[in-house]
Amino acid sequence: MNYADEFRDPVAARGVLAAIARVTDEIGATREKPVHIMEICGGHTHAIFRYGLDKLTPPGLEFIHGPGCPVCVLPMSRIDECVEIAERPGVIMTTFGDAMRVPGHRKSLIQAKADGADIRMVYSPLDALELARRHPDREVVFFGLGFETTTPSTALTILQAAADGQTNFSVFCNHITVPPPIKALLDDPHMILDGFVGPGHVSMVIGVRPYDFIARDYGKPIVVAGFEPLDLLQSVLMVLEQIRDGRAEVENQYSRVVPDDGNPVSIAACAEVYAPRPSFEWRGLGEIDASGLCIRPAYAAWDAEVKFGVGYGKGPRAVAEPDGCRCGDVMTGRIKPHACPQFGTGCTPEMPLGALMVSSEGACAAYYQYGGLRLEAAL
Amino acid sequence: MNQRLRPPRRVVADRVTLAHGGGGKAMRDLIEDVFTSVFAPPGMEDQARLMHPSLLEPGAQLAFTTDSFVVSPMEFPGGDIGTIAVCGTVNDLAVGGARPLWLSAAFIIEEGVEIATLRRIARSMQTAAEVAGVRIVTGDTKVVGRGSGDGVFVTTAGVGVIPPGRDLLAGKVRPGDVALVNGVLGDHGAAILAARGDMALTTDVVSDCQPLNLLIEAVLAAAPDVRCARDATRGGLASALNEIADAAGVGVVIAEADLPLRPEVKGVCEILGLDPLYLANEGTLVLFVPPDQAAAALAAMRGTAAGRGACSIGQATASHPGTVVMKTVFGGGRIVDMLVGEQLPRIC
Amino acid sequence: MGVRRQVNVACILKDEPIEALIGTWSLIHVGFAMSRINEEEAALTLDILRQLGEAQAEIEAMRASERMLAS
Repeated sequence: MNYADEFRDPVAARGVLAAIARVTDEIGATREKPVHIMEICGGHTHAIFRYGLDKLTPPGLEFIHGPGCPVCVLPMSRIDECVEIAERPGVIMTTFGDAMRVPGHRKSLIQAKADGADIRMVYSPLDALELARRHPDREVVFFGLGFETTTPSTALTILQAAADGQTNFSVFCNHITVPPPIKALLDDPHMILDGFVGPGHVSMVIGVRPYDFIARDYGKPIVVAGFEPLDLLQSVLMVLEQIRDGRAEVENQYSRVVPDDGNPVSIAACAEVYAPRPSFEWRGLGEIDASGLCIRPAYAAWDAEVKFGVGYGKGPRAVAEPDGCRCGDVMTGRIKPHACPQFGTGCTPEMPLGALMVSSEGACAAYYQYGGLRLEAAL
Repeated sequence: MNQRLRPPRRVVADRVTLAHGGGGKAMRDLIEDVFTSVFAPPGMEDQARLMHPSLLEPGAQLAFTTDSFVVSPMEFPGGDIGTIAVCGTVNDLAVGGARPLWLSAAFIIEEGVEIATLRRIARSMQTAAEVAGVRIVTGDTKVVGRGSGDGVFVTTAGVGVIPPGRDLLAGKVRPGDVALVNGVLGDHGAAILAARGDMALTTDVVSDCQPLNLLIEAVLAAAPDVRCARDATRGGLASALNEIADAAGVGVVIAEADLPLRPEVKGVCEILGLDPLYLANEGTLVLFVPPDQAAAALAAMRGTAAGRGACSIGQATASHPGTVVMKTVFGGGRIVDMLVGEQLPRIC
Repeated sequence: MGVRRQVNVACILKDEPIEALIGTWSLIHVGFAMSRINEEEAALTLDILRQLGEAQAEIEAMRASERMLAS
C-alpha cells in the first residue's frame, strides 16, 4: 500500500469506465451533443493525456481543458519583469523548471540564462532560501508561481526567512487562485460547461467550501479529484451521476488527502503573508478581479517587487497577446486546440506563441505532444 | 620502448596549473604519470601505428567515430566522465555492428582540477577499456584557465572493424520486428540528477554506464538477422525509437506495462515531473529483431553481464510510419514524440 | 531504498511531537508535507472502485456466458 499504485489499477478502471459509458448514455449525451466536463487543473489535463484516458471514455463525453496550469496562464509581462530582475547585477534568480521556457516579450528565462543571467532551477522555495544562506553577498530571488497548492510553501519560506533575518532573499510573487477564473468562465454567456472536475491539491489547502458558489449560484456539479487515473475517472463518473440525477453539489472524491476544511496551518500562513491584488492578468483570459496574491507590507523586505521596484503599477504594461492566438477560446471550450489556425504551425512547443502550448500541462502542448489528431490517425 | 629504461616521471603538484599545458616538463610529467602509465599505449609517437588481422578480411569495413563528453558532476555513482567517455564511444561503434579495437582520448582540463581526480578518471577509462577489450592508444591534453572549462572535458574517438556481411541499419527495420532493450531505463539520468544535488534528492540509483559490445556480439551470434541497434543515450529511449521509426519509415508501438523501470527512477520522475522515456542512459540499447529471432536474441542478451534484465518492449508497425505510440497501462494510447530541447523539471 | 529528500512538516504537525509522524504517509509538494493521508478514507474510496470493478466483471462474465449459450 502506498496510496498511489492502487489508484493505477487497470482492472479496476474497467469497472469505472463501463459505469462512465452507462451514465453518459443515460444522460443521452452523444458525439454530436456531448456532455462537457472541464478538468480545471493542468495536472489533470496532463494525466488525461499521459494515460490516454480521453481515448477510453465514450464519445458523448468531452473534456474541456481548464485554465489550471499556472505556467500557461502566466502573462508575458510577468516573465519580462522576472527577466528584468534576473539581469540585475548580483541577483541569483531561482525558479521551478516549469517556467524556464515561458516566452516573454523580450526573452524567456532560458534565453536570459544563456545571455548571462544567473538563473537556477530549484525543487523547493526552501532550496532557494538555502542558496541565500550560502551566498550572503548575493540577492537570491524566488520566482513564486502556482495556485493554492504551492502558495503555502512560498508563504512558509518567507516566514522562515523573516524568522532567520535572511534579508538577501525575496520572492517575486505570481501566486494565483483558482475560484476567480472559474467564476469568470461561468459568467461567460457562451459557456457550455455541464460540470467540473476540481483540483484536489488546491483543495488539500483551501478545502472544498470555496467551490460552493459553483453548485449554489450556477447550478453546476463539481467533484474534487485526486490525480491518479482511477481518481480522475471516478470523479468524472461522480460528475456524470450528478448531471443525470439533476443534482449540483460539491463532492469530494479525494477524501484521503482533502479534508473538507483544508489545511489550517497552510491557510494561516497564507493569510499572514499575502493580500489579494485588486486584479491579476491571466494569459489568454485577461485581467481577473482578485485572482492574484501579493506580499503584505509587513513582509515587504522579502517582496522582490518592492525590493527591485519592478511589477504591477511600476511601469507601463503591454498586455497584448500575440496576434491570432486563440488560447482563450480553447480554455473556454469553444474550440479544440487543433482548430486554432496557429496550432502546430505558428505555435509549437519549440516556439510557443500562446499560453497553452508552453507547458505539457497546457491543453495545446498536451494535444501536440501526446496525441490529438496525430494519435487519432495512428490508432 | 626506451621510456621503460628510466624511472617513470612523477607529477609533484596537487592540482593542474597552466604549466601543465605549457608543452614543457610539467606537461610531459602529467601525461606520463597520470595517463600513459595507466593506458600503456603501444608507443609514444604523436600517432598510434596499428595493425589488426581483421582489417585484412575481404569485405571488412573500418568503423570510425568520435564523441565529446561533458558531465556535471564529473564523478557520480556508478562511474565518472572517464567511464562514459570509453563506454560511449565503444557503444557507438558496437551498435553499428563494429568490433571496437582502439580509442583515442583527448582531455581539456581546467586549471585547478586535482591531479587525484585525473588519476581516478584515467583508471576508470582503463577499467572500462579492459571490460570492452579495447586499447586507448593515443591521446592529448590541453589546459585552460579557470572559468574557461568545467573541470574536465574528454573527447574520445574510436576505431573498430565491421566483419564482412554485417550491416546493422535503422532503415532496415520492418513492420512486425520486435523491439528489445537490455535492461532498466533511465538509471544514468536519475543518478546524475541526484548527484548534481541542486534538487536535494538522494537515491541509491547508480549510472548504467557499461560497454555493450560483448552483448551485441552475443546477440548477433544467436540472432544474425538483427536489423539495428541504438544506444539510448541523450534523449533516452524515446529519441532512439523516434530516430529508428523515422529512418525506417515504420511506426513503433511500445507497451507502458513492459517498460523496465526501477521504483527509484519512477520516484525521481514523479517528484520532478519528468518522463523516464527521455532520461539518458549510458549502457542501455534498443534493438529490432525479426519476430522469429526475438526469443533467441533475448536469451543471448540475458546470458551477458549487460543484458540480464533484457526484455521485449514493443514492435514496429506498418501503420503510423515515423510515429512512436505508447499503449498506456490503461489501454489508452499516447504519442511519444522527440524531446523538445532539454527535459526540465515540472514541479508546480 | 527509494528517493530521499528533506521536507518541512509544519503543515501536518498538530499538537504532538514530531515522532508522532513516524509511519504515517503524507502528500509532499515542493519540499513540504502538505496533507497526511487519511487511511480510512483511502480504504473507502478503494472499496467503491473495487465494487465497480466487480460489478463490471460480473456483467462481462454474464455476457460471455450468454455468448457461449448463443453459439
